[in-house]
Amino acid sequence: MSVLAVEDLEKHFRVGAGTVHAVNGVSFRLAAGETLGLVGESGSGKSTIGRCVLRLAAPTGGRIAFQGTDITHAPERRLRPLRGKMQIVFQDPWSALNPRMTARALIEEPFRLHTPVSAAERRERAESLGARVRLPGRMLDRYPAELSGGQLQRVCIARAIATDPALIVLDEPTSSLDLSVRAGILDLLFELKESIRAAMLFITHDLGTLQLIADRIIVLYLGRVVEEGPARTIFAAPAHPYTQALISAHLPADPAVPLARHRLSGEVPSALRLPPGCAFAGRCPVAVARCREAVPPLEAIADNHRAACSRIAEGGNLLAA
Amino acid sequence: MSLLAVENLHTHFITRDLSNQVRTARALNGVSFTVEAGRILGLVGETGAGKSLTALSILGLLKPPARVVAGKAWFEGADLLALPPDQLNRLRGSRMALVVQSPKASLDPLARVGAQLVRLQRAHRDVSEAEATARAAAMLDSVGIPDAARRLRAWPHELSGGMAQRVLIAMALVNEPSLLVADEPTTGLDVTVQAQILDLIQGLARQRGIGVVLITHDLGVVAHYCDDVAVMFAGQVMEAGPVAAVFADARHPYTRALLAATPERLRRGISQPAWAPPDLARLPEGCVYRERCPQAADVCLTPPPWQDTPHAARCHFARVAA
Amino acid sequence: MTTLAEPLAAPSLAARTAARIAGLARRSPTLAAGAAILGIFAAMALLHPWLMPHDPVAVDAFAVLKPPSATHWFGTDGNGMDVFSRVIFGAIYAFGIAIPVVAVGLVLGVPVGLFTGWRGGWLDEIFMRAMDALRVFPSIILALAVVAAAGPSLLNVVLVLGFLDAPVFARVVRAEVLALRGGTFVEAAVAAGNPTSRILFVHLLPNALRGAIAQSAVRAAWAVRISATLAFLGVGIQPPTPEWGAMIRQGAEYMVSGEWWVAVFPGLALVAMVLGLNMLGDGVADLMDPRRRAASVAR
Repeated sequence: MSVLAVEDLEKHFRVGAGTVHAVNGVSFRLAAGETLGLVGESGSGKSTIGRCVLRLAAPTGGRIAFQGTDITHAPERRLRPLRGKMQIVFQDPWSALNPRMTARALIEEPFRLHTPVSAAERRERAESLGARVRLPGRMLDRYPAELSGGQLQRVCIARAIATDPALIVLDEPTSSLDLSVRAGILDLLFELKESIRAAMLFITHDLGTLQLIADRIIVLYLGRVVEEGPARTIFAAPAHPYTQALISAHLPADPAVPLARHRLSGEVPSALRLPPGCAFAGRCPVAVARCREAVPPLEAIADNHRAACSRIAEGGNLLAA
Repeated sequence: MSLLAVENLHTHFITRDLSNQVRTARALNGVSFTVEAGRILGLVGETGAGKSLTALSILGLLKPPARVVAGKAWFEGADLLALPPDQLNRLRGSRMALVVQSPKASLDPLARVGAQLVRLQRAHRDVSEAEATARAAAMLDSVGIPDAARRLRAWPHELSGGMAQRVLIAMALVNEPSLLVADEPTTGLDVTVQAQILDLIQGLARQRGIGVVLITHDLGVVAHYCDDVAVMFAGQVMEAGPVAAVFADARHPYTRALLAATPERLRRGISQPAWAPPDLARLPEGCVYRERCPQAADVCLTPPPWQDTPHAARCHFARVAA
Repeated sequence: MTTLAEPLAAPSLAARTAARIAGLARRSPTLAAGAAILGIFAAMALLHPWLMPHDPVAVDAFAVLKPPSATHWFGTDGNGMDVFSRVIFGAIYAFGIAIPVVAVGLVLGVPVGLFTGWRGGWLDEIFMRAMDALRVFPSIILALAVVAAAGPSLLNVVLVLGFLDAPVFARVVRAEVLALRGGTFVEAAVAAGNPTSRILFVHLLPNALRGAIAQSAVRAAWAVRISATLAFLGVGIQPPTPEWGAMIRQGAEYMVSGEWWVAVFPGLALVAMVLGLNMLGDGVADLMDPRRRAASVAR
């Protein structure tokens, strides 16, 4: 049984100017212990998916099942007991922590809420969690304003793993952090991945990070899945033109590595008005007429590897350098 | 003769804390570098290194409580830091230009794009409205904005992130500066758009012989878009030199640490120490990096030397090129 | 195993507090002055047995309406009671009203503000309009009506005034909650599985109290004024209780005949206390204003 099963997820927001179609029919499964990377740029809907999956936002359509239980429309009181098993680490550690609570209180909170243990036991667990995320004991009695970005994110991670969750959503957990700090956090996440058995949904726009930590990757564009497969395959042989362009746009920190850039023109279209057909057709170097007529379905290319591009079948999906 | 030569720049923040004590944060502690025409210098470092502050100091855009307390910035024969405000004002926007991180915040929301471009020109040169408008359209075209003539009438809020950044670049270049300072021009933009903007900046530098200071925290950008690099930490340049040389043979422990921290180089099993940013009000004596440096020794209590070579590092243990 | 960098050792709590107080005084003279004034009154209230030269309710038929002198610094009133001692004793009533009224206001108003700010929707609309209606009503009239009906006791006065204070606190707290509601740590609290009660009281309340605290001093000043007014109108505390308002009521009769000291001294005490509370409130609000907190340039 998958930890998370998402079917045809849709999320639309009403705004003054119309409706923002943030998520438009996304389906995926997450197995226990697996790390799935959700990658996309602005407008891809990745953050929205992260929030819907934890029911921090209510989906407009589709189904979400957590450990077999349908939580799509569950009321908050039925969700609350489940929340100990599904956690989130936010992008901005400075605003994700209550400024009036000490690090210790923040880490202990999940225990207060979900596992009734004595105060002494709570304290002990908080301390061992602190050690696990490499946060010295002294720091536990500090307030968020007295901790650095990296330390704060460690507190967030400690809090997230406290109750042994089955699912952790990480929404750009290192994007707000400095380079050297980022490395430490990634290192920690990698280590935790091997020791805890939680499934991780890793949301990011940074491919470099995913290469390190993701088992599988889903590439999103304007609220739809355009490609899905094992991380290694996606990097080695990306099928969808957008994936190819995205991977090629990543700049490795080594001037000796030659860039093979697929230059894209224009930008992501507005989610207020989804273009008919393939959302990427407007910028796609290999788009043809039929791409603009119908949304291409997600089809299998190889074992476990799927992509939504009508040009794959005829071999016209590869971008020239 | 370098286009821009910054010498020993010191900028301090002088404030009062909650106990009403005077606190001096030494944000820039002797920054020196040069920028050549037609070349792009990457100014790289983490939060608090002083990259943006360097740009603001040079361009005379500091606000209290920040103050330049020492240093020189030679540009076209004059020391920018010693110029009276009105002269500096004449140079800004015409001979030297600044492009910043959030384009939406830098554009006047109440004026159309074309009007802003025209305004900029007429502030510095004696041109007619018609001439200025024609030039504005040409500028928008040269930064890759399609349908430039129509775009002149766009309002800033109608522009997407990438488009707005292009407009900012157009505004920076409309008066043909010789120096362009771009402060994190692509942070916050999509990766696919980032490439377009960087290509544009690099193209302009080459074609028009503009000297560019590109401030960024992304080593990938430096590796592929900059000719020279200066690595900053705690308000000092720790290492500087041509990009290929610095990346291939990093001489300062901080540069090496930064390079090791990139995802490509992150090797399993090597745990990364997590350092808090340096406290600018309480910097250590001697080498400012010594508290984090794995190689720190007694000699590091004295300020490290700076070699006068194309590739130099501020470290007692920097190996000099053979 | 890696460790994080060691920060410098923090100075002791006592040293830091002392330095902070000194610094605060210099940064906000208003706060310092207000605190000083209140400090004096607080001393009067707490140390009254040692400060009063005479018994405040001791009737002395032979010393009626004596002007200020060496034995009676503020003179005596129509019953021969020493005005100075009565003024000192009156400080107890001033605090005895100010503190409970603010407390009642907070206890009633803050939870309402928290809850309606959090929930929003029609509940928010209804409550806020009700609170608005309460504020629009002239408080004196309402207080008069209630006290006249229920009887002029200290408890009744405190309850009515506290009740009238509640809308102010509710509104202020609600505004803070509205600002906090969209914040990430609140979302994190929901994601963690916090029940609404914890979200309101553990997460929102400590962060939403800032405005309420700044208001407290100002509302306390209002409470002191209004209760004195009620007493003056004969509805609140009754003479011969040495409450300043009641004393002014008594003394008003003698103003025309020239025995000014009976009313003026309690009046001055009242003005000083209200001023002190207002200054304290201003100073606290100023200090808590994040814009002021941003450093000023030292030249």
